[in-house]
Amino acid sequence: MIKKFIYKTFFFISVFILFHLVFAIFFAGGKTDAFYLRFTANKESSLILGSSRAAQGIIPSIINNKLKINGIQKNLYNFSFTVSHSPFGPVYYNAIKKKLNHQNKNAVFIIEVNPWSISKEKTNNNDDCSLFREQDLCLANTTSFNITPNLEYLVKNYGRGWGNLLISKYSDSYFILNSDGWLEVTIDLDVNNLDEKIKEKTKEYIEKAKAYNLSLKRIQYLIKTIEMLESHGDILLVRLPVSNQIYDVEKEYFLKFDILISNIAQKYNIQYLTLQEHENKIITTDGNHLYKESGRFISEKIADFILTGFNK
Amino acid sequence: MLFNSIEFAVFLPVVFLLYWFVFKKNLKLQNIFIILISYVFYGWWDWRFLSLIIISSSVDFFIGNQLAAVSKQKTRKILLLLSVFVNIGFLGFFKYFNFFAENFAQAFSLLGKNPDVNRLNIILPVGISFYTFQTLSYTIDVYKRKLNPTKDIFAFFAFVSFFPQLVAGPIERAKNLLPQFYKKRTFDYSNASDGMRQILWGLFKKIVIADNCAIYANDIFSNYSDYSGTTLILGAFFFAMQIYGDFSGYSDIAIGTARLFSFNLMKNFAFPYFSRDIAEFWRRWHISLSTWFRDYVYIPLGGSRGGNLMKIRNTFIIFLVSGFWHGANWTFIVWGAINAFYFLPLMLLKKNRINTNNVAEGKLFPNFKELLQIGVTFFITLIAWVFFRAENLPHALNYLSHMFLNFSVNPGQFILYVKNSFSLVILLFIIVEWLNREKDHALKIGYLNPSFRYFSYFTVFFLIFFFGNFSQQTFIYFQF
Repeated sequence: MIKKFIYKTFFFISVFILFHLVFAIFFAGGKTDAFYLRFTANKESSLILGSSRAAQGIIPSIINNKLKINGIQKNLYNFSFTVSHSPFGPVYYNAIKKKLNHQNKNAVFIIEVNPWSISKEKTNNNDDCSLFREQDLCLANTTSFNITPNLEYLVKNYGRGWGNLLISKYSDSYFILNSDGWLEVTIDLDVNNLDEKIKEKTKEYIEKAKAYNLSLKRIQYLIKTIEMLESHGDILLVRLPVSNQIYDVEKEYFLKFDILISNIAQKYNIQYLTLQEHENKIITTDGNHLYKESGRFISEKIADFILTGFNK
Repeated sequence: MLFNSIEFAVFLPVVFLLYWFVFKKNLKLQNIFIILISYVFYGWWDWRFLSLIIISSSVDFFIGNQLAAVSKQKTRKILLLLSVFVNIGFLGFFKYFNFFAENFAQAFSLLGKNPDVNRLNIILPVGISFYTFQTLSYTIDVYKRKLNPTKDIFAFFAFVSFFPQLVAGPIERAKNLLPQFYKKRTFDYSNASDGMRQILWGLFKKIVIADNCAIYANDIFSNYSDYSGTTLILGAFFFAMQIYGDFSGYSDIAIGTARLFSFNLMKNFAFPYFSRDIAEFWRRWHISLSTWFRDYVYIPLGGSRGGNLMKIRNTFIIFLVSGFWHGANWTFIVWGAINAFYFLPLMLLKKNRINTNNVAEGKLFPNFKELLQIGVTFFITLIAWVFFRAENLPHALNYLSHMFLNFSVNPGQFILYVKNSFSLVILLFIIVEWLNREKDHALKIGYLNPSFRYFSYFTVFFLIFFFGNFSQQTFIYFQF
């Protein structure tokens, strides 16, 4: 009888697992969530790194096309997440190491920097990496970054019944993660509401700024990341534009941020591009993230910079 | 290790196969195996706290045997007190020290003094309230000569640490569970199959009902000031569903898992939301704890014997202690007190045992009176749940005042939640529970024809597959 019980249970569990596999293989993709696709496919040579500002604001295809027209073949891939998931630290460093194609020595790396991605909660007095906010999130709990479908990622991070993979694939979504890693967000920009949103976001950032300060460990990991990448190609540090209100918060609470990054850039003989001067030409969705049209504009600016000044 | 985790999905079949195919022939080895895998199960969370279980088990095993060896009543009493001191000492230290320290400091600050009270920076060992009560019940029963102490140390350690019910019950009595470790277990196909059904239904309750309701309840409780009275009632409803799905789901999985190993654990929930009065509710909710308090606190205090004052005192003690058992927070104590207030009129009017059968027994629908009684009982439990869920007393009071004193109706908000397809799942859940309210669990369908059974299994699979929340939310009662 016990064998009958085992066979029957095995049958049911197999059907259940099979359903999960089929759905993962056929339906998991760019609408699954804002990160999944970045954990699939191949290792990448040229990477865009940073927070959600870069995830939404730097469009690899725009830069790749512009470079291609000028005879430079680089397949940049956006491997940025959010300021919670991918601030500079051991977790992001190891993730980059796994995603990077270490064979290529002629790549390009765009590293988006902002004060939040090198800061920590003030309560973490000892700058203890094990207390960093990203420790329990997907970049830390997933070991594989280059496998399709990535069952490990889905099991640990999807969080919903996998039947939703089908639903999300065929339903409208305000976001889609493109195959080049760019997170495309499409929302109705209600100009009347936008000011209010920016005000709210600014308030949120002021509160955040009070609770955070720069982390020596994170700065060390930013440097370590640069050191890892410099043997594989050229590196560009970029500070993306945000609304003036949020920029003012960052200026007030992280006064020496630009000097710090400039010093790092100087030390490693790399370029640091700040794009805040374009603030009047861009639209953000909340003061913090570039709307996709502005993302195109800024990506072109970055491409232009790479073409004109990268090797100076 | 959580029941709703991948780790457990691997752990359980491996343990099952080893248990029945490797250790089946030797009872002692099988019991040792249970102890080891139970320690692995518990240690997966934090191995350091295994020491507490081992100390508790050792102390009560030793004291149990001494109680049998000693005839002098005074010595026996000292031994019992020693067991109570060790067990309640652990519980008090880990669970209640900070509560008492803070309240002590607050009380003195009212007198203009500010004593320097240190808080302990410690975490609460998972399940400590459950296994402490379980092992205590053994010693008390031996002391009262209701139970002979065991000489089999492995059986006793396995009884205390038995993994299905170690961290969140049911809180077993030695009289029921311990003898099951003495005798050879044989695999019973129908019992194991029904155990699997119970596990499936428990998972459904946890992953689909509780964890989804939690999303809505958390949102409404966190932003209660933005919501109308009708939506706040809905928030309390979602929490009621969450806590029921979470805890009774855990109990179903625990009981079902134990059945796979040919152990029968006591029933912990009996469809409490279909109760017609609060006394019936408490006979159906967390039965293993209610009966524990009845047997080891209420009856020794005199129970319902004596005058009305004594009855009132005993009722309040048992409900307040029960509330405090849930957590070191005034919200739980007030929750207990509210339930005492609900219960008292029934007891004083001797109407606390009029609804001892199942509602609408043998019928498909309840009559109007029963429906009204169920509705009223459910509603008053909702109000009490607000205290259970709230972060602190002001939060609960503000929530309730928004719900009643500033009552407003906002159909838009209400409909936003209700029109969600998940509402249909809740409705289906309530219907299935209602239809099976006279059974041990709602998926006890082994007697039905195979095609209907398979249809039911796949429907539950389908619902888990589409509506499940797989973020491995911990069980609420782990913290108690």
